[in-house]
This record gives sequence, C-alpha cells and structure tokens, in this order.
Amino acid sequence: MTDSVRLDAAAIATAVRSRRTSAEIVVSAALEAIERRNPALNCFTAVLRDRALEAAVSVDDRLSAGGDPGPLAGVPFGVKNLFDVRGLPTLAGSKINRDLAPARADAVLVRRLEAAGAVLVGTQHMDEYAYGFTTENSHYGPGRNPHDLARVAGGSSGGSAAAVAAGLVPLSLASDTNGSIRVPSSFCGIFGLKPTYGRLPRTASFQFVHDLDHLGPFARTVTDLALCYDALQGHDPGDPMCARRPIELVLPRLDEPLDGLRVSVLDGWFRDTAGAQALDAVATVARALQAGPDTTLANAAQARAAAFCITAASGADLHMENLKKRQADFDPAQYRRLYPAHQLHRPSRRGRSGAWKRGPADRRTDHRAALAGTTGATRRRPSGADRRRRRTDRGGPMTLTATLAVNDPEVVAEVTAMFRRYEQALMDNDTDALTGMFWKSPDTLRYGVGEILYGYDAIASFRANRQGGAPKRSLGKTCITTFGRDYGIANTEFQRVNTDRLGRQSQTWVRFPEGWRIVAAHVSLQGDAS
Amino acid sequence: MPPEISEDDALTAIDVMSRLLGLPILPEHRAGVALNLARLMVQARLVQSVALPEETEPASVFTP
Repeated sequence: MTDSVRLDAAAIATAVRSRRTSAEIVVSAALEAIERRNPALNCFTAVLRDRALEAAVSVDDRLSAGGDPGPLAGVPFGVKNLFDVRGLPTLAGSKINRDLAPARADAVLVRRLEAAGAVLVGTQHMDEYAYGFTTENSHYGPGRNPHDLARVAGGSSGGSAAAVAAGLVPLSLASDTNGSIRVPSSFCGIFGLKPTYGRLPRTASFQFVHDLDHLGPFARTVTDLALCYDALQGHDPGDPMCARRPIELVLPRLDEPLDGLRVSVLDGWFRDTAGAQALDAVATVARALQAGPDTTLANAAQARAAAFCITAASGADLHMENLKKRQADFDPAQYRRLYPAHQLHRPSRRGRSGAWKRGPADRRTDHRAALAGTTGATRRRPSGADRRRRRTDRGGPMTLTATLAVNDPEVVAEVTAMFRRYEQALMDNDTDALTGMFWKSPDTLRYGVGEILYGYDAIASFRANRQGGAPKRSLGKTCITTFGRDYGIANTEFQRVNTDRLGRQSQTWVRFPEGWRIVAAHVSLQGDAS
Repeated sequence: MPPEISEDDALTAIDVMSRLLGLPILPEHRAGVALNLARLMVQARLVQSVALPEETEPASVFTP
C-alpha cells in the first residue's frame, strides 16, 4: 500500500470508507513518503507524525463503530506554514515568527478539513511572509519542483504545490494574494483554486495583504479540488471580510453542461505580456469552452501596478516594527522590497475604486467567465537564477477585479418572482402585501400616474386610502435585468381596462437583509407627444 | 510625467527617509532598497496615471 499516497483524495476516501484500506495505512504511507523524499524536495517544514497517526486511528475507530468520518475520510493533507496549527508557531516562512507563541488552536479551514475526515500531516514551505513567487527562502532553503529538482516550484505556496505534485499528499491548503496559488499550480502542473475574495474564511492564518488575501486548495484532479472546496465552505465570524453566503456545493455540479456560460479570452495586456506556452494553453481551453470574441479588461496594466503598490505598502505596514528592530532577521529579498514601501500612500482609492470593478471595457457585460493566462508567462526558470527578472505576478489585475454578473439566472428568477408577487397583490388589492414590498425608508419614492410620493410612510398612506385599489390591467413586454446579486430593475408595459392609453411601469429592486424591496417605482401613461 | 528616478536620487531618498523616520537600514541592503524604491515608483506612477473623477469612492464593501 506504499503507493496509496499516489491515489487522489476521492479514491482514498472511498477506499477508507469501504474498509478496503485504513486511514492508518494511508497516513503511514504518506509519512513514509515525506520522510524519504522531503530532503530533496524541501516542501514540508514540519511533519506532525504523532498527531497524524492519532487522527488516522480515530478515523478508523469511528468507521469500526459504524460512524461516518466524512467525505475526506483518511485523506492526508498539508498546509502552507501560515495556517495556525495547534502547538506550532505560525512561521509564514520567516525566522522572526519562530519567536511567536505556539498557536493554541488550528485555523478554521484546518478544522473543517479534519471535521470531514482528512488528516493533517504537516506544514509546508513558502516565500517569507508570502511575498514572492519562487519559494526561495534564505532561512529554509529553496523549495524544489518535483518535475525537475533544478527548477523552482513557483510561490509563494511552492511547498504546498510541490507536495501535491510529488504525490506526497493529494491535497494542500495555501494562500493567494497576487497569484501564490495560481503560479505554483502552473509551475507544478497541478490544479489550484483561488476562490472569489471573501468566500473562504481566513481566521487564524497569518495575513499578508488583508484586502487581497485568499485561502484555497491544491489538488491533482478537479474532482478533488471540488471535494475539498465543499468541505471548506461556510461563513466564519472570525474573518470580517468573509461573505455571509449559503454554502453552494460544487461537486454535484461538476458534470453539468455549460449552457448559458459565455466565455471570452482577455486580450490587450494579458495577451501582450504572456509567453507562447501560456497563450497556447489559453487557446486550448478557449477552444474546449467554445469561447466567443475576445474582450478587454480596462486598465489591466494599471490594476497590476495598483496591486503591486497595495501589496508593498500593506506588507511594509504589517512588518513595520520588525523592519525597525530585526532588519537582519528578514530574508534580504523581502527586506529590500518592504523597506522602501513603508511610506507609500496606499493607492486605495485608485486600486479599489468601483471604476475598476465594472469588468470588461466593452459593452458585452453579460460575460460570465473570462479566460487569461495569469501565471507562468515564462518557462520555469532554474532555481537560484536572477530573482529580479520575472513576470509571474500577472494575477494582480484579476485579484482586483470583481466582474459584475449581469442577469445571473438565479438573481433574475428571484426578481421575477418578486415582480409577479407584486402584480398579484396589486390585482388582489392586498395593500399590506403591496406596502410591505417597498423599502421601509424615507428615501423610497414612487411616482404614480396621479401622485408623487416621497418616503415609505407616504406610500403606505396612499395605499391605505386608495379607493377600490388599482384598476385591472394586463401586462406586456416585461423586461427584468439584474446586476450582481443584489440589484435588479423590472420594466413592463401595461394596458388598463378603462383606457386605450398604454401604461409603463418601472421598479428598482434591491436585496436587503430582510429580503428584496422596491426602492423606487414609476408608473405612467403614454402621452401623445414626447 | 516626471523623469524616472535615478540611482543617486533613490539612494538620497532612502537615506533621508531612514533619518527622518528613525528606521535604520543595513548598509549591505542600501543599494537593493534604493533599486526597489525606484521600481515601486514606476508602478506608483502607472497607478497615478489613471484619471479618476473626484467623486469616485473606494469600493470598500465587496459582496461576492
């Protein structure tokens, strides 16, 4: 069973759950493989033998007792050494952090994987303070690429990617600020997931750039990535930027057709700065996904520059005290980049403004996916080569961009349901229901055919006093458009029974914590002239 | 657009910053820090080149 570590996570969990093997055998094999191969690869910085074997036995015991240890039963995994792990100081690749008190508890994502039955076997190598793309580290030596030990694994999550690529573990957890999952996935030939910002909680991990840090998994198959991601999902109050969204399982949806997904390749800066190999890979994926016409992300070069400056300034701010007191304890490469950034004004307004978050520059804003080679523009360079010349941080613009989803089918369905409910209430003269669908605010307004109402109270009063309710009517050409998850506009034509004049109605819907509400409404009858 | 920062200017800026902020610098890193300051300024200028209307505010609340 020595080769069990080469199995993917799904296969291991299936074998363990069906008792064809045991978690203890799988985890022992992983520990043995790490012991044998880590001296050459340098991807693990701490191996948790006792803890891992204890956890594995506990998984087996649960199975023996008829229990279910979870969908990742017996799957060994490692974490980049910026995750808190009970009993270890959280190094984040540094020498300075060795002096921190050992973490008293595991990071939330570590706990979630273990709750799903996975077994933590160790912590993994990285660039100091996650500031780099090579995992060459003056304190702990260079991380190696398992495909060619003379080359770098990429970074900053190089140890985590190399451990998966080498088959030491099927899963690792890592972080990505400007590409630290995307770059090493590319360099090591595996899959990595940088989720949407705010989707996975970062509680009890060592931060780098609060505004840009993401946590996510590495795996050798997309199925494993989905399996792992599903176990990681869910809000946690310990990370103030973690979104309050319901869990959306992705594993059951992996085989769904891509109907309705419009895909574009990003041109401009992304194409101009990419190497031939990256462009070939993008073209292959674009063909497979039947990508439409290319599209342009406005200000991509400037967005990359903003990410560069935000990163340097935030990093310098975070490490200011140590820059003063412990200069000699930094990796020289980090010190030279952090020092000059400490007085940089954070370009937050430019870097994070809505103007840059609108998505593609052209009018085709209904794209749901955009493709670009954001990593590995150049070949994996030899380890120890000149560290200055590289173009690996091409993920920055995408990190900064939250493309607005226009007409997300789920959101359109929600707004459509509200629109219909409103119309039904209008025809039933259910005044309570009608009033309840307006935003309870003095800023809400409604222009009626015969009245102008400012504020929720005025609207409620009008409803209560309207004799006989609204005239009966039929609708035509209803048009509903949504922007993002929380904003939609409903427009419709209507024909009242007592008049030949065509009516028009517009409602602006916004999702509040209490649900969808109308914040502005306009009803009018068409005149004879403009 | 101001001219690119020269090596001498970058070194001078680093020395002044170090003195004013009480942030000592290791002599062996002085040249490397100056080089990175120059690099950072190139990027900062690129960011500053984006014209934004005065009313543009940071999109600080991001709901994925």
